[in-house]
Amino acid sequence: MNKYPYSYEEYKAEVKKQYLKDYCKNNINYMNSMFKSENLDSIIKTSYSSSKSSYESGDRELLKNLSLEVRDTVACLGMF
Amino acid sequence: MGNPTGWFTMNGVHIPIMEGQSKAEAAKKYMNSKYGKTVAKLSTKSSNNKNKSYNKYTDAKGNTIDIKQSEPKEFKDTLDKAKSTNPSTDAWRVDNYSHTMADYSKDKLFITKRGSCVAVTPDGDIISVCAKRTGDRNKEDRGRTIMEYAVKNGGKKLDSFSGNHGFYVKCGFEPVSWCKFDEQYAPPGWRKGIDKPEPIIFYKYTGNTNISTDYKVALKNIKMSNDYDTAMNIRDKEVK
Repeated sequence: MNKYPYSYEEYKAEVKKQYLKDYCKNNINYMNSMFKSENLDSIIKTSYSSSKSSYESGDRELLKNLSLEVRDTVACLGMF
Repeated sequence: MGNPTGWFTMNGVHIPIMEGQSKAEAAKKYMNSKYGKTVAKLSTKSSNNKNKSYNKYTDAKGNTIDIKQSEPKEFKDTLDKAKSTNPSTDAWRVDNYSHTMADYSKDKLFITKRGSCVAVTPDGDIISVCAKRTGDRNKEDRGRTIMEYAVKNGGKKLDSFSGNHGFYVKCGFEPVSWCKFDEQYAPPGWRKGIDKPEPIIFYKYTGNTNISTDYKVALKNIKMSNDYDTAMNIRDKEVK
C-alpha cells in the first residue's frame, strides 16, 4: 500500500494557506473569522480522507496533484 | 382576523392591509411569512420593486443580505462583475455565458447590495450563483444565505461542477445524477492540463445536510449518465 505522505495537519495548513491567498487577500483576521463562524473543519477532514484513501488504493496521480485536491477544497470553502 | 381595509401590490403579489395596520407593517408581515424570520426594513414606495429597493433577508444562521429582484441587464452586469472577483482557479465554474437576456427575462433574478447574485428559472432551477469577493469578510454575502433565499423563492434543483459539491450538500442539496466532463463543452476559463475535468452533478433540494461532502462518494453511489441531458432528465424526474 502506498502511504499517503501528508498528515491531516499538513493538509489543512496547505488548504488554509491557499484559502488565505485566494479568498482573503492574505488577511488572516478575515480567514480566522470565516473558520470560526462555519464548521469548515469537517469539509477539510472529508477532503483529506478522500485524497488519502484514493492515493492509498492506488491513484498515484493524486500525489502529483495534491495542489488540485487542495484547490477543490479551497473552492468549496470559498463558496461559503 | 377581520377583513382587509385595503390592498397594495408588491412584486406582483396582492397584500392585504388589515385594520390598524400601516402599509409597511402589512408588507413586513407578508415578507416574514413568506421569506423568513427577519425583515428589518422594507420599502413600500413602489408596486414593482425591480431595480428599486433592497429587502433584508436573514438566514437560519442569522446572516443577513440586502437583496432585490432585478432586470436581465443589471443582473448580467452584476454576475459578470461578481465572477471577476473570484480566483480564476474557481471562476470558470460560474456560468455567465449560457443564458441569454431572453432566457433571463423569464427567470426570477436576484442581486444583492454587495454585488452577489442568483437566479431561479420558472421550473425551479437555480442558476448563475455567484458571490462577490472583496477580501473583507464583513463586506461579503454568504453563499449559504444566497442559496437559502433562492430556495425560498422557488429553487428546488441545480447542477454544478463537482468542485462545488461540498458547498451545495451543506446547503441541503442531494446529488441525484451525474455525467462526465465533456471537453467539447468546456466552459470559458477552464484550462486543459491545469483545471480538472470535473464531472457535472445534478441535485435536488431536500434540506438534508447530512450527506458526505466528498463528491467521489456521490459518483460512486450514483449511476453515471452518458451525457448532460440524460443526467438532467433523471434528476428532473425526481423533482416534483
